Amino acid sequence: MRSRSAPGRRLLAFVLCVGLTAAIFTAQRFIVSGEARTGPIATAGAQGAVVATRAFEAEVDRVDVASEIEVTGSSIGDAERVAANGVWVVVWTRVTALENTVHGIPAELRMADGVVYGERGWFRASLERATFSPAIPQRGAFVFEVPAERLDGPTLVLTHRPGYEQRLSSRVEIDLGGVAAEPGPDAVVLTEPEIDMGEASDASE
Amino acid sequence: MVHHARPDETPGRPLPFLPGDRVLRAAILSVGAAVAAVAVLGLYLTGGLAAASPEPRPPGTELRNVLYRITPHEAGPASDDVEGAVVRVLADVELHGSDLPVPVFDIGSTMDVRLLPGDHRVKHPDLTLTRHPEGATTRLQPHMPEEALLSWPLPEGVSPDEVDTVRITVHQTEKLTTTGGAGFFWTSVAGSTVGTVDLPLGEG
Repeated sequence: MRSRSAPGRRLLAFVLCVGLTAAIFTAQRFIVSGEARTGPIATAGAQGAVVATRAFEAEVDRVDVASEIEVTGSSIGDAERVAANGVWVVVWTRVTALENTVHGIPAELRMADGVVYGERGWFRASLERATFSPAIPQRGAFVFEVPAERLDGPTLVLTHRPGYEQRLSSRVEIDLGGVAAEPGPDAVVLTEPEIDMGEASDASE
Repeated sequence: MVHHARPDETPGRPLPFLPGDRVLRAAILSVGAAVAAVAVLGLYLTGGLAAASPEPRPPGTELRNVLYRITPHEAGPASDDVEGAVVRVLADVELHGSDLPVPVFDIGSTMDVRLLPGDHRVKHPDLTLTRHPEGATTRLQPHMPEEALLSWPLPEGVSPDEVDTVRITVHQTEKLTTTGGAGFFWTSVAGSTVGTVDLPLGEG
């Protein structure tokens, strides 16, 4: 068998080097980040649909946008109106724990541009503070405060985070696409969460 | 063309300012190196070069790092049900460098706050917004200017009478990832400051 000439071998080595270098850069693209490997496992859905994940399910039935919120279940007792630094976004949601009792579900509102607002956390009547027993739905509201000009394409993100540990936890992402950017004329009245069996209770009648 | 080297252009002599005698040159270099080593050692033992401390500026000056901006306006003593005696600072604050909420703990840990004249350092402020002081604020929301009250507990044994100035220094900050890569936090960049404000302690 005739051996390849020296220039041919050099060309072959060069092509192989270039090919391997390109392969290395291409392979780098498939490395999964630590956050993606261990982050929450999200299920996405839209407003009006039940979005289920392993630990709980959630359904958003209404979103109110207002300049003021009337709080009847605040720690100070009497009803009080609180003005927003921007607008209040009050997301009325039915949440049901599916496996075990869930003590509070941290809620965030993620805008289309990636900016995230956490639940305001001031109001005792917020659904974020509720305890959910398995198979008993509760309806209430998550309350967010957002600069009016940044309220664009919001998504409600609920994450089950037992013991502040969210690795591989259950997450629900609900697109609230149709939210009005302009606040309504009236204050939104925030009421305590209540058990709401919805269609299940209707079926039993 | 023929080049005639001058007598002092000795080839291969890299340090022409030293004397020609090799023993003398070695002695001078050795002594110089020893002096430099002692100087560096002395600097190390005395704590190194201090970062230039910025000149304190008056109330109402904005201090801005890559994460937030804060404009302290006034300070006063106060009493807190939980913490007891505190110093309270009124300030405008805005988170401009993060698209996610940031814990107040991270904000507080990037500030160096001293009570003068005793130079007592206080840490970990509580933060409430003046528009709704009943609500505890544990995180600042992104891109929302706020007027806030920051409260630091007085160190044990220090009474408000012993304090006449609150000195706030804001450090530059950086975002670090926690071990395992699942989370992150903001912390100060060692040795870097973006400014200092002195607030005379008012009546509260």
